[in-house]
Amino acid sequence: METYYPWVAFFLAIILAGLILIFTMVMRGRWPVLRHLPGYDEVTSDVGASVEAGTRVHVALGEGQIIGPGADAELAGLSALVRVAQAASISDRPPVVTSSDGLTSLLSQDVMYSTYRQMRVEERFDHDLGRLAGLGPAGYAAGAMITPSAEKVSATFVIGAMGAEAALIADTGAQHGTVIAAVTDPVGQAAVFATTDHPLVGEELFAAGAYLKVSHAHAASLQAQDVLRWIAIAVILLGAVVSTVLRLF
Amino acid sequence: MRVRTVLSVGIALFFGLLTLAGYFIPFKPLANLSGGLLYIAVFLSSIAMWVGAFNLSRIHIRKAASGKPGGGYSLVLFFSLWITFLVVFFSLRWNQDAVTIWIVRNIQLPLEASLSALVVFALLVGGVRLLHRRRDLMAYCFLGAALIVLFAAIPLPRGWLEEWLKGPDYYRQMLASIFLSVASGGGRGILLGMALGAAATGLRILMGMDRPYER
Repeated sequence: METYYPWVAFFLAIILAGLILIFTMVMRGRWPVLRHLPGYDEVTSDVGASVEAGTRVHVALGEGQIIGPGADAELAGLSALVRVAQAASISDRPPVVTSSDGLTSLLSQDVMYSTYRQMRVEERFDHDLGRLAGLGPAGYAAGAMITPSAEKVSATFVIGAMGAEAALIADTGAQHGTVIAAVTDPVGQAAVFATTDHPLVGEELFAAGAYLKVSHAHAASLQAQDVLRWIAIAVILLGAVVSTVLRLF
Repeated sequence: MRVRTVLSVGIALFFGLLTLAGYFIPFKPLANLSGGLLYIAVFLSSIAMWVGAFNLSRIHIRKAASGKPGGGYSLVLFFSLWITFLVVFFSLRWNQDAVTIWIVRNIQLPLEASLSALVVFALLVGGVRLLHRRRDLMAYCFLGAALIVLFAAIPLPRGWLEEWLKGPDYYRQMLASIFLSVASGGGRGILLGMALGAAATGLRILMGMDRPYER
């Protein structure tokens, strides 16, 4: 049975890719109606408030690595960074992005630079704003939790792969302003649920691009995920019914 | 589209799909090529880590030189980072693992343990404040579940435990299965959603729809 798993994954990937393409083509020019998520609603207003107050936004991308565990969450965080950087591009104080991986910090610099260049304000970009805060979970938490006080931060977005240390970053972020958090680790999710006003749980992390309106591809992939999720639910229910019937008779 | 964009997207797609094909197609040369590409990527990521460490050092040196509050801590970080690096580098060169072990045991582990203690404190304060911030159903469910787990961890007096263990199996099993079903069902639901989200994120990169590498 296990020899079939790669093929099952391959066909699921093909179906998902096909659905993303179909929804991207179908939705051209339109934006789907999405379920209300207070966390993402607050992002734009928090960035606006920080621009008005002359403070910074801190995007904490977590402890994941682009080549290794947590790459998916880092990439989702980088997607959200595009929108945050766009919204904050009119500010004299651009967002500060912290990560625990060299590649992620370089990618965050690239994302911010390309966004600032698109907005024609590349002179405001500073490479030091996409930084490696520390290595390893404890090192990263120690580096990221001092960022709000060191950089005049008024809004902290914790989005990425992070464990219970997310509670420390959220707690220090809350002392300097608002905090919105979406992390992948189950312990980290419980930690941010207890310590933040608007926690985002589970797959809501991967919906960042769609909710922040980064591109239609993000909205299309969210709809494709919904289709596959309903298929998975149907298969699970069908499996439960079939196994119950087989046991009874 | 600019030539540079086309080139960078083309390179990313080509090597991304080649690496993915190495996982799915049972063809040894392809698997070897995929492994080789990953090896190069890991090597490049270690160089990126170096760049990150230099960048971090520069930020802290600047902060210390600017005379801002907390500049002393930046100096401590800078010197401890590079002194540790030099000590570990030369101790490994001369096969003196004892120095590295001493640093890990006597400096790194106590510091990380202190930080873990702070996490517990932050969680405790967060849990206490939870109902002040949010008075919704999920907050009550979260607190209820946390309290049940905490009570379950308390060592009960011996008599109570024996009485409970002698009680009817049916109720105990029913209670356990309800909690296990709810917890594992919820956990699996979250995992399923996250797996789909992760797959979609990866596919967007492989399809060139998301380009974080573009400058």
